[in-house]
Order: sequence, then structure tokens, then C-alpha cells
Amino acid sequence: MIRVLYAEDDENDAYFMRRAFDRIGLAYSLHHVPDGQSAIDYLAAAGPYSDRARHPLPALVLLDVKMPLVTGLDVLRWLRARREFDELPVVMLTSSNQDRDLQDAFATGANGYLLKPSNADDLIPSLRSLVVRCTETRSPFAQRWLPFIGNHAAPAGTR
Amino acid sequence: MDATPSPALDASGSPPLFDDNRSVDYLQLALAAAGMGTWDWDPQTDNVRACARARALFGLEAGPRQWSEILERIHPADRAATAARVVTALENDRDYLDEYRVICPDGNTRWLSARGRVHHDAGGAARLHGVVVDITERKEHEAELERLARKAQEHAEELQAVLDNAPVAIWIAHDPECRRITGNTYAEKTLMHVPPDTNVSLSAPPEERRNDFSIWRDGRPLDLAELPAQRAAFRGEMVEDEILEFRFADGRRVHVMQNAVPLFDADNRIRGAVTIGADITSLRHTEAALRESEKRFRLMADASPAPIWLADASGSTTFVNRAYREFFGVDLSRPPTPENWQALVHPDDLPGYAATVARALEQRSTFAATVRVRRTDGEWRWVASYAAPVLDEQGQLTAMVGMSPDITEIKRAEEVLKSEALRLEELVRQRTSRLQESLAEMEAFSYNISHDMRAPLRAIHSFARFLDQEYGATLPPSARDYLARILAASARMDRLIQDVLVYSRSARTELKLEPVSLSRLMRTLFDAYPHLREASAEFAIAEDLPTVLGNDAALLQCFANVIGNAVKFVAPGQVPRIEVWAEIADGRAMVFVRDHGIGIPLAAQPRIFDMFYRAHPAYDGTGIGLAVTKKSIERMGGTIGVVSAPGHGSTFCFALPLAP
Repeated sequence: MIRVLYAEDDENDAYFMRRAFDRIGLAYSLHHVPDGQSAIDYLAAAGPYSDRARHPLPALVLLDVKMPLVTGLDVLRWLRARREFDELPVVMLTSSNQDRDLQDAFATGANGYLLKPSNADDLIPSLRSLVVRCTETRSPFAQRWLPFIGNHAAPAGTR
Repeated sequence: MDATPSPALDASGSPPLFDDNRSVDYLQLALAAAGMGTWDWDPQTDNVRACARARALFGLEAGPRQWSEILERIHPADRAATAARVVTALENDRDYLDEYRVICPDGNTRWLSARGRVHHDAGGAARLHGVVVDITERKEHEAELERLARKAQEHAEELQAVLDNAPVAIWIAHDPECRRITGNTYAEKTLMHVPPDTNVSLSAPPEERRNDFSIWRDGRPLDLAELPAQRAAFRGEMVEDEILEFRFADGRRVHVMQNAVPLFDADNRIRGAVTIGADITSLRHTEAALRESEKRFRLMADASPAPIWLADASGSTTFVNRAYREFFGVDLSRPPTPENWQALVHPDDLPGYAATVARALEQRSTFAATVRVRRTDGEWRWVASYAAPVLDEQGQLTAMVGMSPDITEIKRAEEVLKSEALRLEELVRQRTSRLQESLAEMEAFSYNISHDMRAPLRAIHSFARFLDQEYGATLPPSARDYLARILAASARMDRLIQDVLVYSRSARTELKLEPVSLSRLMRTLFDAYPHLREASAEFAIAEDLPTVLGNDAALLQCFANVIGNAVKFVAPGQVPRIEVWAEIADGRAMVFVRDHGIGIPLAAQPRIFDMFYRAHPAYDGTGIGLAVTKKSIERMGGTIGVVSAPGHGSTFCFALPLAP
């Protein structure tokens, strides 16, 4: 069973994510936080998340790019500034296929980039592939987490 | 006299006037008065009997002398001739006449004249007797006369040489009536073109008078009495610097400056006149040209709308043109001093300007200055003052020439222009900043559209789909129809949003141009846009598509849009057939995409590249694809056009720059 931390301010998108994970058919534990600061608190075991037993470190972090105040990129930047999270895969989620977001994400150290599909169930294949990468721990991290781009999220010019 | 004198003979050889002793007495008196000596020579004995005067003339001792002794006294240069003449007289029985020099023992030379006659003595032998007289004084007179004559000759020759070679005309009136006047070589050859020694007098007798020229003054022919030679000869006038015009029959006109003086004879009576004339025609032409040049300069100067001035080396104004006089309301009636113009310059500008002028005068250089001056109406005006030095052949400054056009209006216009330029710059800066703001807002807007607007759309679409999937079976048909409509509408809305974003990006983002192989691009097209392949269309794509200069991604999208349309716009049930080929024309690649679909209505053709314009509302679409395509192609330096026959298909043509 893998632990997934998911930061998302849109309730509907959080719902779709949970529904998609339910349908992968793999053991998982999804923890949804509604903003960037909560994600940082969780990872730092701060405030309500101080109990590591109840809130274990995730095997995968999903971050919505655009959140109020602390954005997904802010969280990613915080994460990548800490060596202990070097091997924690982070996948950015976004509604846009804007080149700038994608480039910023990979430049900041994201391991994947997922475009939110207009049909929510289209998330399922991408999520399955992500979870598989997390469980296959035999090959080195860097090799497993070559940049991942799901749902035709590639910007114009890279397709 | 110790010798018996020979009887004096009359020159005619007639018998003596007296035959008594008085005759001898007369003869002796005559011989003494003439200083004449007598002699008698006997060639047989060579003895010479000479009287005391004759001996004294030869410097001989008393007593009988020898002829050879006498010959020795004779000057060596004359000796041989004297000896020969004596022999000739004896042989031919003729009188003897000779003149020769003798050198006396005291070293003096004197000229002697000897005259002799042959007579025969009782024995019949020939003897010579004669007289001798000292002619030294006469000889000296003759030599002096000869010297004087030679000198006069030389003088005459010198005068002739002067006459022949003087570069002025010289005429001599040979008589007081000026009936004959001849000129020197210059007058004859150069001035009048007449043969040597021609009488050129206009007072000559009618049969001799020339009529091939006349003499004028101040445009009128002169009376004879007014001619210089005639004035000098008739009235003894000295004529000075009279300027006359010779008019010749051949059309020549020569201006001559003449001087004339009378000539007097020994009795101080006028015997003629000398006239000297210098050809001043070219001088007069030069003067005329100078006057003409001066006139032209003044005309030009006065025609100039800008004030023009001349100043001397001290900086004083010496000439101003009309514009100057009118502009400043001054003339040159006041003595020209530097203060004249300095009074016209604005007090604030004067020190700098005066220094500039002084420096230019000193360095003999040009100057240019902008300075305020007081116009005649009292208004201060800006003038651009330019000046240049005038140097003589030695490089010394003789004058400055300058021009001072009024540039007040230009200066004002410049200031307006400058402030206008500043204003424009500010405006551009403001607008640019506003544009940049708009651009930033637009970026933010499209970013927000894609994030915030698509989120609820995604929710609508997804929940409608869940409803349909999970409860569709239990819903009545009308409810399912509603759901279907919600799904279609939200899907369409999402595509619209995405297309608007693509358009704004295509208009905004920098397109990097590089060689793009269209053949390769066509192969990747179907990988990038799988729905094109899924449409079961028939494609005929030429294999030799060229390599163009463009942006790979943008071109891919353009061709995807046009080919996507070709696949889409077919009659229901019809299999789309699409051909792609290219031609090279005018250094550009012309790429054609032809379909055999429903075509474009004629009325719609001019608008199909407009944003949101849809020629076939019945077909799915946002009306953005072709607008994006046109914008992208144009940004890559290309053009796009279409020909379409409604009902028979369309052909799109891309004109693109070829890769170098």
C-alpha cells in the first residue's frame, strides 16, 4: 500500500482524483490537503501532522500547480531544497498545457506533469502508471523517474 | 733755304705771271706762308736736295740727303705705298701725289702731303721734284669728323632698333602739315596692318590718303585738326593720354592711348611731330569684364534673400547687399568700422560672436555662428552667420565674405519639433508600457482561463458523464438526451477555450525559424494527430516536398488544421480524399492541400480566415483553426490562400520561404 499526498484546492478535482485512484485497483492511501501550506506542513510533520505514525511520509506527491497563496511550484521548490526528499517523486497537475508551467515544473525538479483531462476518468491510465513506478523499487530512482508527461500534456512544439 | 729753289709753276702749267725776280720772291713768300718745303730727287744718285722747311718736316740734318734716308722716316705702314707711288710717277712720267705719316726723331708722328713732278735734266735723265706740307691738323680734323659721323650713325641705328622693336606704335609726321606720317614696325605690322613705309596720314594729299580706317573718340569720328599728331604739328601742343578708337575697314576696333609731341628744326620752327600709341584694347576688355563681373556680383548679392556682407581685414564692413540693408535698416553711409555691425548683435551674444570673428580674421579661417541680431523693426532674430576669408596670392587676408540667413523660424520649428519629439517619445513610452501591461493582462487572462474556467467545465463534463455512465440506464430518454447535450456543450466549450489559448499563443510567442523538411513533417503529422488517421481518409502525399524556412511546431499545427478541415468537411458518408503536393515558384515553396469535400460557399470565402468565422455551422468547430493558421503562416513570412468550388472541394495553398 503506497501513501500518496495530494494538494488540490478544487473540491471537484479532489473528488475526481479519489474516484480515479479507487478505480486503479491497487492498494493506495490518498491524503488530500486543500492548499500548498498544508502540504508543506504534512511533509515537515508540522502542526496537525506532527504524528508520523498517523501521517507517514508519502511515496508520491501530487501537486496542483495553481493554488492560492502557496502554489504547487512553491511546495516543489521547498521540497527540492531538502536533501531528505531527493528521492520523493513529485508529479505536477495542471489544467493548462502552457509551456511555461511545464518548463517551470521540470526546471524546479518535478518528476512528472499531468494534464487534468476534461473527462475525469481519463486520469486512470496515467495514475496506474505512476503507482507502478512507485512500487517497482528494484531499479534506481533516477531511472524509474525519467520525466513523465501524461494525457498529451506536452505543449505545442514538443509533441 | 740753302738750295736753289725750283721755279714755282702755275697749276695750269701756263707760263709764270712774272718772269723777273719778283716771281721767285712771290713764290718764296707763298711757300713760307703755307709752311711748305721743297725738294728735288735724282734717282741716278739717290741724292735728295731739300730746303730747310722740308728737312724740318722729315727731321733731317742739313746737307745733301739720300732718298733711302727719307724713306726710313716714313711710317712703316705707309712706306711701301709711298715708294711704289714714286716709282710709278717716274716710270709713267706723271705727277706724284701722296699723303703719309713720318716718325720724327723726337718720336712724334705727323701727316705730310707731298706733291711732285717729273722733269728731265740736260742729260735726259728723269728727276722728281716737288713740295711737301704738314697736314697733321687737317688729318686730325678729318678723324674727328669721321668719329662724329660714326657716332651719329650708331645713334641712328639705335633709334631704328628702338623704333623697330618697341611694343608701342610710334608715328613720325615728317612735315608740319602732316602730309606724310609713317609708323614703326609695331604701328605698321601689329596695329594697322599696312606695308612698310606706308603714309598713314589722314592729312595726306587726296591721292595718297588711306580710306581703310578712321579714328574715333567717344563714339564720334575725329576732325583732322583734333588728331594728336596734327595738334602737335599744327599748334605745337603736347598731347597726353588721349584714348582713341581705330576703326578698320576689316571690322577691327582697337583702342589706342596716344601721346604726341611736336618736332622742331634748328630754327625752332615746327618741322613735324612724334606720336606714341599703346594698344589698350585688352585692358579695356578686362575692365569691361571686371565691370560686368562686379555687376553680376551685385545682382546676385542683391537677389539673395539672405543678408550678405564683405568686411576688410580689420573687420569693418565694406559692402552689404540689399537684403542686409533692408533687414538691418542700415547702409554704408557711416564710415565702416567694426562697431557698425557690433551694434546690431544682441549684447549677450556679442562677446562670443566678436571673439569668433576675431579668431577667424586672425587665423584666416571660416567661421559659423548662431547669433541674435536686431532687425530694423527692433525684433531680436536668430541668424546663422557664415563667413569665409578672402586671401591674396601671398595668402594674406584681404577681406571676409559672409552671409547671415534668418533662421528664427527654423529655430522655432526645431524647438517645436524637439518638444514634439519628446512628447511623442513620452507617448510611445506610455503606450508601450500600456501595451506591455495589456500583454501581461492577456497572459494572466489566458492563464486564468485555462486554469479557473476549465475547472468548473471539467466538473460539469465529468459529473454529467458519471451520471450517464452510472445511472443512464435508469433515466428516461429525455433525461439522457439532456445529459448528452450537457456533455456536448461542455466539450465544445472546452475546445473553444483551448483554441482561444492556442490562438493567443500563436500571436504572442516568438517563432524561431529553421529549415523544416515538409516530407518529414507530414510523416510526424499522423503521430501527433492520430484522429486524422482514424478518419479513414485517403491521402496522396507527394514524396518530394521541399524543405522550407519555418517553425516546426507551428507548421505542424497549420497543416494539421487544414488537413483536419479537409477530413472533416465532407458530405456524410463520403470518404475524404486529400492530396498534398508542392511546387517551387519565385524562390518560394508553394504547398497545396486539395480535398474533394463540400467546398466553401463563395460568400464565405473572403472570411474563412477570420476569427470565430464558421462557413459551415452544421459542422463541429470553433472558427479559430484557420485564423490561427493564417496568423502563424504570416508570422513565418508566408502567405496562405484558398480556391474552392462549392460542392467540389477546396485547395489551400501555402506560400513559404525556401530554406537557404
